[in-house]
Amino acid sequence: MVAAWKRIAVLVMALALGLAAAAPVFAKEDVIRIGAAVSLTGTYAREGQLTRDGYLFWVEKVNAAGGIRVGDKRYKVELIVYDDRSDPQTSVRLTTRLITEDNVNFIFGPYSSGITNATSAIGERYRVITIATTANAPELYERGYRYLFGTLPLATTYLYPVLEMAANLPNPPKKVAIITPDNLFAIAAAEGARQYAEQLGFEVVYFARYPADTTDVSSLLAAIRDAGAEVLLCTGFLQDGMLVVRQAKELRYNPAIMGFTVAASIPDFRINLGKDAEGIMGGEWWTPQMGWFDDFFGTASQYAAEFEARFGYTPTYHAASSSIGGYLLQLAIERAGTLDTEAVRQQLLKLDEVTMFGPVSFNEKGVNVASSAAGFQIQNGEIVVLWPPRISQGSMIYPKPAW
Amino acid sequence: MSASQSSSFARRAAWAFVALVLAVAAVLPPFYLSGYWVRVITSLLMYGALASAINIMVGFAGYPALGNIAFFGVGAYTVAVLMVKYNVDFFVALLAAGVLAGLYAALLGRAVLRLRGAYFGIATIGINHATSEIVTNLDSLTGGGRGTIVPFYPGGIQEERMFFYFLMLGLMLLAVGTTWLISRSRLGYGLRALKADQEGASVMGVNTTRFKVIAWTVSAGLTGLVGGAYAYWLSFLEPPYVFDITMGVKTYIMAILGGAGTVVGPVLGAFTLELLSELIWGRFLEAHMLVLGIVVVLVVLFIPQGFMSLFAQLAATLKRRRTGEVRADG
Repeated sequence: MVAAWKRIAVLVMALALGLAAAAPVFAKEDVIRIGAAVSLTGTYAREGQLTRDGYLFWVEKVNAAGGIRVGDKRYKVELIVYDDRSDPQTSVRLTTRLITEDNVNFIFGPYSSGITNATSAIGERYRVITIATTANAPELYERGYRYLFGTLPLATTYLYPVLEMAANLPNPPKKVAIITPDNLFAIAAAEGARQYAEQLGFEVVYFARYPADTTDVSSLLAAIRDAGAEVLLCTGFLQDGMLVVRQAKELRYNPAIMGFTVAASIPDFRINLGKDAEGIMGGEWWTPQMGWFDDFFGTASQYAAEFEARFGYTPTYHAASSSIGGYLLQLAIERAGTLDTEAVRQQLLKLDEVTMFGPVSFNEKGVNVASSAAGFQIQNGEIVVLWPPRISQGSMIYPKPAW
Repeated sequence: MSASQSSSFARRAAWAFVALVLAVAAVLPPFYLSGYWVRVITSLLMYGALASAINIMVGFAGYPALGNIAFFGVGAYTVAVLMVKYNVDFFVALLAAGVLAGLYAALLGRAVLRLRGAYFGIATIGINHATSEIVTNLDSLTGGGRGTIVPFYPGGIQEERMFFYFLMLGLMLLAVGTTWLISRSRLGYGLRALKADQEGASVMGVNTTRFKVIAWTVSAGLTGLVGGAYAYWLSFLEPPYVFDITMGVKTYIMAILGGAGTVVGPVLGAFTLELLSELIWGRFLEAHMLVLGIVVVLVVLFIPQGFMSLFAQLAATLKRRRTGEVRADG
């Protein structure tokens, strides 16, 4: 009997702890409130943190400069960040919370195309602009949404620079093979590469999709070798990239060009593969080595240095794209002279800027159509940007050194 | 005689009053709360329904159906595919989701329900994984790893809120009602018997295989219905979102926390766990999983039989005290 009351007391205490945790957040005057539900724990924790830090970097920089000018007043920016635990349902709920409880003026998107697909539907229903900085699956922008803007060029364009470099060689290769894991973003990149390759006059001799968590692609690679492909493109993630390189080496398959999407620019790829990574090419949305520039952040390398001083690590495209998302919103608000959603939306559509992230302008669908990925090659263990020619830092090694 | 009649009338009146208060409390939220809180409560109702559904297997039959979330995924994809590819009305698609998930369990059950205890639990996890792979590979139908976009609810924000709130409320009541019926039926007694001692139950004339398959079919059908509603509510599906084993484990914990084998325990467990996690996370952004974990451990340590056992214990205590007083007077 005593035990029962004791247990109830524990239960009540547990509930009280929860309720105390839920004290309301008070609103401040004269701020622009921006909300972001990003993944700080779970599957996407790393990318989510990069995204958050990118937002935070812009917020701190713009507040240090006195805030955003709206008409003749200056507004500080307040960023409200929640952890969506890499779960779309939670992300949707938090986005609803940001809009209906925290009354944010604008939304910064979550990490990944999948989760953004779910949360942007909420922004659309409530007519709040979402600046998506790490979501570029084409399906997202084909739904006719008015309030969704993506800073990254579409995933379909990821391998364009590698194909363009191949096509511009004095003695270009002819046969291309493309493999992709079964994933929203990777398939988009692979389909885009296939279409563009055919458009550039290549022959796509092999195209295959494999299960996302596979640990063996040797049969695919053997078939590709037998088809005589000179260019091998793979749109998988880091693990896929390392797997393809290792198994191609085992099979002694030596394509003249090997190109990857996300895998090759991640430092772990070069560190783990060592000499085998030499000559491998990739597309990349942004690296600090790119020679882009704007008035707010300075050059890409200045941005990277300041970012590193603040957060203790070198920023990736996730962070840079997120910082740029904030900057573009800032430009649109200043030009609109109001926080009104429709007016800011009009200004976002009119933007035509060159930033430290590269050129930006949005089409009616909210896609950044001014930019495409840059092409690079791993030379002596370093990333050397080669394409577009305007920001090239060296010349291409062709064919790739044999294993 | 007349005294006992009036006391039974008073008790009935008290129950009716409690029921009325609950009914009013259930209907009011979407009219008064913000979009966020309506969404939070709608997801409480959803988890209440899921925990009730898994309770039929876990609490009554004693089968740890950890991978029951597979039927959630089946239901979700049934609604998505029927609505997107065949333009089927939502309610028809929802019904199909329940039926298909139930049939799926009935088919699998004949084989898998031969396993017991942890082995059955592991098999259901395997089923969840395999089903997820099948859905991913049927990509002309399901969109595969790319996911699939389900059409919006065709009304305003306020109407949409109402619709999903009352839909989930209805599904939760259906799950609780079904559990109540089972608890009072021959099926319920048979399940409890086979939970306690399968051979014994079989000797006593309980058709154990049939009972288990029926229980799983019902549990899966309810789970499938909730999955179908979820698909329409979220409006975007990817296989990992709906074949999510952590979500399955969560509903399992909810059922245990509230009181496995009771009628309303799982709902209490679901409400408590979801609400706590929602509230805790508001303040402990970095450490919410830690805080929530500690709370769950505390509850399990101090109330191992679930919340319902507390109420039962309290009721027994009060009764004893009252009858004790009567005896003292006499």
